[in-house]
Amino acid sequence: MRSASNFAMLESMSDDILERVIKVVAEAQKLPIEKITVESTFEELAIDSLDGIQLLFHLETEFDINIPDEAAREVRGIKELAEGVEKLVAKKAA
Amino acid sequence: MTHRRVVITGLGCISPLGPDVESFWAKARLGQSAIAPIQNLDMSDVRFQNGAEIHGFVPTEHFDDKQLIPLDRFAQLAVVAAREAVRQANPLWSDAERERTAVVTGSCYGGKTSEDEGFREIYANPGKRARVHPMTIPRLMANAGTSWIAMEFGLQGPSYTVSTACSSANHAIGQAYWLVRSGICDIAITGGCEAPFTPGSMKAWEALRVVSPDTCRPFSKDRKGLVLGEGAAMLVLESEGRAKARGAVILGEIVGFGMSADAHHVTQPSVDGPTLAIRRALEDGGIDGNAIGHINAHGTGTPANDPVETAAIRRVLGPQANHARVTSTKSLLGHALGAAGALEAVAATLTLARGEAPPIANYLGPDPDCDLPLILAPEPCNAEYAISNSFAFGGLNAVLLFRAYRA
Repeated sequence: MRSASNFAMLESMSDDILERVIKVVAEAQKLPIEKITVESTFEELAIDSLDGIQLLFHLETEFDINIPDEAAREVRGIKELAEGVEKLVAKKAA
Repeated sequence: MTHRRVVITGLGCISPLGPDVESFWAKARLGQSAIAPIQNLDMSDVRFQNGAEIHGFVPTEHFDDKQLIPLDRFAQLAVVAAREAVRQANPLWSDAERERTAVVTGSCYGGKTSEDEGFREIYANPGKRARVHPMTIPRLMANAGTSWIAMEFGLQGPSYTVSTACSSANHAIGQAYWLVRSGICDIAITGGCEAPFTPGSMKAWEALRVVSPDTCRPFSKDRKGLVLGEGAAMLVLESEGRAKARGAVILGEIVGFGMSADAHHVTQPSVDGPTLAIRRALEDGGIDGNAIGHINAHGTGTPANDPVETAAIRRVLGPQANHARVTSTKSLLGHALGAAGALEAVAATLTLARGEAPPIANYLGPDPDCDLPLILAPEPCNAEYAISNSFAFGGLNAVLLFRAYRA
């Protein structure tokens, strides 16, 4: 179950994208999905730089997007990750 | 400069003969060959069909899922072999000693499996944004074996990988031996690791026309070439003083190392290069050829290598070449390229330590150009000194000199 805090932050973010991002993170990191919230930081989830690179790889596959190095470098947590993905998905659709 | 004696206190290997040293030796001492039809690859489009594969290796029995992500098969094998060697040696490292422990491994190819799988996607889908796994570079780097062994045991001393094709492991072990002998390091983990069975690699070997259509028959008449193999072997080397002080069981001793280059031809061997490497190893150990009682030959089973190696051994050993007993464990293990010298170092160490010599398999009869005293059935060995030869494509030669340990 996703925690309620996921929805509180979601005024401008698609539920679907956040849900899929969290699912990718859970699968890649072998974490229980309920442990991951929109507020989780990579530090809290013990996601190191190498894990981060692999997350990007899996997200590129999941959303069929191309995540530029510069955008990736600034991501520190789930919220930024989902927001970044949403922007790239929107850009692709435009 | 006074040299410290360098002893072997741990052995580890994973090979086509079995998952550890004892299973390896149980078959090797009897001359049982692991060469068989290749099962892990589709070989329908390859002229040769046989190889020496490791069967029954389940990576998840040795590593957790997360550890496996950046680990190519060749590095997995390296770590598994190193764990066995370290378990046996039980080096009892202090923090200061971890900083003075070297890790030197050999690999010809590095992570060929990951490279082959990843790049196939790219080449098959040009312009289609095909991607490779983000761990492809860490997986394929040839030094991965060394790096993961260093991380596994927290070792911070001089650590690197040597890549000299079929001589990689002998060059690595020789370097590690010198690091300990000179006092730069007190302990070293050293050996070689290779996992060459990929579709691209098989086609490349086929094209070179050196692989036997049937099996590996070193020094035999009607030999038709080498057979590829895979595996890893690691040795723990230690200064004799340290090993004795902590009461370690000493398995053997390395007493010399010699290197040379043919400077001749990229694939055609010369007699001069191997001769020089064997001579340098004996000089390094301060002995002459009369002391050599056992030889673990390079013995690839190619038409070109075996007579050249015979001539080189005869040149250095003189009349003793009629007495030093010769084996080639490549007839059992295939040619594991950058791991070959390490597997052969384990065999040479056990031959001297246990007084039994593994025979050459698949022998069909004498070739007058390979007229050495070949070991063709299991036999006792009372040799004090043994050499183990490796001669690489590119003409780079490395010879290790072993001695049965006597306090």
